[in-house]
Amino acid sequence: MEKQLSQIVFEKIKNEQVKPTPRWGFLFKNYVIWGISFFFMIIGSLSFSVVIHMIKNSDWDLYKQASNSILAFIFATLPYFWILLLFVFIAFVLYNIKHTRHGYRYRASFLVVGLIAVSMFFGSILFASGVGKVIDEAFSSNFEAYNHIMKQQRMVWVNPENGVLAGIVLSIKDNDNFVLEDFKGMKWEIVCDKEVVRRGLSIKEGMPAKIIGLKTDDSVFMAREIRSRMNMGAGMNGQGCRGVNACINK
Amino acid sequence: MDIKDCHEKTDEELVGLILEDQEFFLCLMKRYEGKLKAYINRISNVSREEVEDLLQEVFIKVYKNLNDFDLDLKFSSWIYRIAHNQVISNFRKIKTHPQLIWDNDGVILKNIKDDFDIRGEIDNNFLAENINTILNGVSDKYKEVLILKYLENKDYKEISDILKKPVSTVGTMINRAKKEFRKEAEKKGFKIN
Repeated sequence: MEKQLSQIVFEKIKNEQVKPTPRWGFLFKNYVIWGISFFFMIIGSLSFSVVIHMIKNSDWDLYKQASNSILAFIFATLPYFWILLLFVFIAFVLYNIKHTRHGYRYRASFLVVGLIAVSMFFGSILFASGVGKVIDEAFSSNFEAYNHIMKQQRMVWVNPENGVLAGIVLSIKDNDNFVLEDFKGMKWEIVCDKEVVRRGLSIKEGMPAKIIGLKTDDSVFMAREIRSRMNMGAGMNGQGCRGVNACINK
Repeated sequence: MDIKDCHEKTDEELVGLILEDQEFFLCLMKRYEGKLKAYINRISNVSREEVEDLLQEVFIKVYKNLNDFDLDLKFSSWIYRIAHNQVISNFRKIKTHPQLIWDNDGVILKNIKDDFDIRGEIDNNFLAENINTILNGVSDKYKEVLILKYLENKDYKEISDILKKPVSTVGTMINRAKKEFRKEAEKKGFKIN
């Protein structure tokens, strides 16, 4: 009499001594998946903290000088690198969650919204703790490629026709006169007006500077206000100008 | 406990017993052998021998993964999921697609009638003659949910657990499958309300 399939399988299990995989193996796998998800979630939150840091320090009050419209300014200064990184890590977390025991029960759109909300919440806390700034500065100091990416964003501040110029201080002539190389590679003679001189500002070579004023000649720019924040981290502060806020007014 | 007492035990109770005494696994397999053979046949349309080979692999996988059985699921959903995945995995190895078939004993016709407003003897006869052609016109991705709903009589939650998709997605797939079914039926000149 032909054996039933279940009998065949049962005998195979006995003969080959097939055993159930121990429970700890499955638990371990679950913990690893959740652990990886948690790790990527932290990285995503860190990315968001840098996004907030960069947006907050974009000198929104100067948007008219830097761009034709507020919308154009927003598109020019958004920290795309960090936003992209945030979404890459959210995608990793989503993939991991979908492979957990019950992850399949939730729609991807619902999970993405939830993950963005969590990143924003923890990212805001990290930003408030100064972590966003630290990460930006660390990347700037250690990764030349990062500076190259950020350089494109700084171009929006090279708009002398509209009264804003940004670059690196090359040399100092005297108290109210220095040479700046803008981010497009052009050299400018910067003449500080009486108000800037009166404030007793300390300009240092190698320092990044954002200058608001008036173009008076092809390569001469009258400075009415000088700012040091460039959204590019400690790496761009140059030598002798740590604690940039001490060098120049906000 | 005597293995003969296993018939009154639920699937979930049997899983616990199997982990203490593997003899109870025979009971569980006998319970699901017929159902899973039919299901595997429906979603793969392979020879009888291949169905049995696939089913053997399914049962061995079930045994090995018993400690992974989640009590949040029905056991039947879990074992159907393993069967479904094993068929897909098998066809991926041979780089082809499983062919879905419908049985001709009128089961699906009866179940589909309950969902669609089909009345009258003439309509029934027409549908019975053309149902396989109509169903074959439905996209492959929706055929699976139709098989689970109308042939295996699974509810939305069970289909969600078997295919590992959200319940809302299952609902959407069934609605789309019904729309395609209507369209295919209309191509045959058969109007469904």
